[in-house]
Amino acid sequence: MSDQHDPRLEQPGASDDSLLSAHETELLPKPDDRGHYRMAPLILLFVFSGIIFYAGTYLNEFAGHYKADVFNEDAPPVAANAGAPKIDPMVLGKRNYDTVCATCHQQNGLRRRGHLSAAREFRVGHGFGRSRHSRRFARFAGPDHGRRQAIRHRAHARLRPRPGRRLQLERRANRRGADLHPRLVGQRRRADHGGSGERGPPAGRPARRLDGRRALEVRVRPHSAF
Amino acid sequence: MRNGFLFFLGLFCAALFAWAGIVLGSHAQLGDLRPYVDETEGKAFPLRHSGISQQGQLVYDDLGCATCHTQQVRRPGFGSDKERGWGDHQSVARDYIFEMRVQLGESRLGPDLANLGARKTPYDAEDLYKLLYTGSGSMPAYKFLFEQRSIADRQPSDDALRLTGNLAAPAGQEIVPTPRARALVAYLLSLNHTYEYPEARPVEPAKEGEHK
Repeated sequence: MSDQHDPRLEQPGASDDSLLSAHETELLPKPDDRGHYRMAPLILLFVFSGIIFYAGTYLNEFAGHYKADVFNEDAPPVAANAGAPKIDPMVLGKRNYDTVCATCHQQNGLRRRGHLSAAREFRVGHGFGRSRHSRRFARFAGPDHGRRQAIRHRAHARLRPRPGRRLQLERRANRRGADLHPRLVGQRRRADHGGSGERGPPAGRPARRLDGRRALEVRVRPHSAF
Repeated sequence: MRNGFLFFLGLFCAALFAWAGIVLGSHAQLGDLRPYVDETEGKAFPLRHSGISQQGQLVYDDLGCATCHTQQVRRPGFGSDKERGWGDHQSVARDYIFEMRVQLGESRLGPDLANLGARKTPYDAEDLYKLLYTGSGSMPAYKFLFEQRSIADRQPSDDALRLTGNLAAPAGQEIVPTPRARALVAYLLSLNHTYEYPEARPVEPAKEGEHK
């Protein structure tokens, strides 16, 4: 058999139908195998939805009402002024007393000899006199602590029931710019040191002006004068 | 890479969102915290550290003490910090407003140190020096914070450690803390967050069924 009669060589060419069918398969959409992309499993959608739901409820439960000053997630929200400290008036008053009043009245409330009347009644007592005394001296608890000496002079003047001779002398001395009238200096020195001042009377002998001072202090009764 | 710009833009937005939530959100909530002025006490809390204490805080940070020690007390009923004597109330953000680097810590291999300077069992400087020099249990010894020197030609130092046994200094020698150890101990003894701020006070838990 010659090569010209070989049936394998005389096969007909590809028909149109065969060509179209062969190309249709190529035109169909194919999976993107080169990029290795696959559709995510649908179950992941439910899994992540569950996680987001759990996180949202957890955050809502334990976020402390989304406030920075809430440190207990189990506590109800507290009003802004509910946590304000309660100031104990006794503690605050004691601090003011130690700052201002103790200069003259001492820590124990007992007066120094020759100075203002005792404050013990006002520390332990109650009533109208105490409140008036507090109002009277509250203004001293300010930035003018350094002027305590001047304040004390003014306090002396205010504590008197009525202006007297000594107050007139003090006012006169103040107008002249002097610290204190010489007569008052000797008087107070005698009152402070029991009559050992230079211009004071001899020891053991009651001073006339000292008696007058005592009379003044007797008139300044705490509950009636303050 | 296809859509590379979009990918990195999304990455940047995710990082930006997280940063804004953590940093900017916290700053907006806590950035304006101020010291609390107590009229009764006449002071503002928290108190600032002294100079040597601030140096000690740097030593604390340098040595990595926060690896094993915390400085945050949990509230009573949430943990056993109160029963251990570490603090009667929980730490709040206002405790740390003067801290340059807040040493909160995250693990408690050692005790909490938030209120070391106010413990009921007081620690004095000598106790802490000995603890630092000898170590204790899982705490390593920090002997490099101390110096061994001769006392042949000088008076013994007041800060010299009084050690016994094998730890005692050789004859004619003394063991004294270095300035770093002094600063660290001063910082530890200054840790006192015992002031109870309004936000740290215990409040009644919400009743069941009540809206929280």
